[in-house]
Amino acid sequence: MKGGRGKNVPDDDHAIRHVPWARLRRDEDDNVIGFLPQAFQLRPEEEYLSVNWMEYHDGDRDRQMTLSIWGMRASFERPLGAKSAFGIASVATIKDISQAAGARVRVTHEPDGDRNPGHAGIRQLPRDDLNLLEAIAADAFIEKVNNADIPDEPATG
Amino acid sequence: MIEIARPSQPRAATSFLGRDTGLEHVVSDNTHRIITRYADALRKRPTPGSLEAVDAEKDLAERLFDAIAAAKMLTAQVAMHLDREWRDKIFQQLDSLHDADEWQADDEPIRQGSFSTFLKAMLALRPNRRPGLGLSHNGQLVAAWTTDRDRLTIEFFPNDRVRWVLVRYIEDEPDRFAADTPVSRLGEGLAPHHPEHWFVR
Repeated sequence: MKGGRGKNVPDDDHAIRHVPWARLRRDEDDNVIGFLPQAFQLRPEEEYLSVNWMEYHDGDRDRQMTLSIWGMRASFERPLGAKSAFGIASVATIKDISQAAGARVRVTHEPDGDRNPGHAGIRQLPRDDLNLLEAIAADAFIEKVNNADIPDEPATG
Repeated sequence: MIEIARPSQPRAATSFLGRDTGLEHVVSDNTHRIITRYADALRKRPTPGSLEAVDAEKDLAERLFDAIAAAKMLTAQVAMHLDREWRDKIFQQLDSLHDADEWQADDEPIRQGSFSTFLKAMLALRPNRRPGLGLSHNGQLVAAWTTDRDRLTIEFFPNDRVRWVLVRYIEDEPDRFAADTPVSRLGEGLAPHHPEHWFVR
């Protein structure tokens, strides 16, 4: 089994994060352009920024991404909105950008039981460094996947 | 363009909620949908197992309705300073941001203090190019302008404060600036960074 609670996710691997519709960067006509810095802002009660470790799952990249998204969908209270999206970033890029801003972040495996075993967290991310959050939004999470483009998980049993 | 006012359909819904407060002229399709969902949830005969979920949906629908309605009422107070096209766009964006189908559990709807600061900023800056809008998890409105790779993002807080961050590429190198200021000094703070780059079509 890969990883283990609290273990570092390898730098060559990728983090994927769900971004709700309200925190997608849009133009005045609601065309989606990317992610807002606020999409990566910790809530007061959060110890780390929730992401998923894509390479926790076996298979090709599409398979890893799909399994990660199914895990995230299973872990949310409400169904994820059809207009929401997922951002993908390289772990090394997240660390490099953060370090340039004076923050030594760690990306650690934080499995959420059977429903989302690939769950991970970005730790030591400053809560209020808007410059850093902006850089993470635009220069780290450079790939966007629309929730609506990923099929539902087939029913089991 | 999305229709903002639908006086015929929302009237029954606002009456149903006991909120016949003259808001019909600012109730849009999306708001109407929220109210309808709320009404549907209340009409269902709840079983013990479904009671909690229905209550949660009702609470959410009501909170979103209240937040949108209050923001629209605030806008109405300064309507004489906004052209109709811009006012309609703001209403449309508010509805879109509070789409119940897209709502994230634990998010806060727009805070009236934040929206008030946004209106003050927009009336002062008068950007010819309107911003895209977003919402932080705790209900602060966020305005974003994007020109190629250059980005300006402003977050609006209650008590007339704003936090902004911009990135401008000069010879392929990003220049980054951020500040936290009173809204009254927003224009002054942005001026050295040529905000017309974002604000003028």
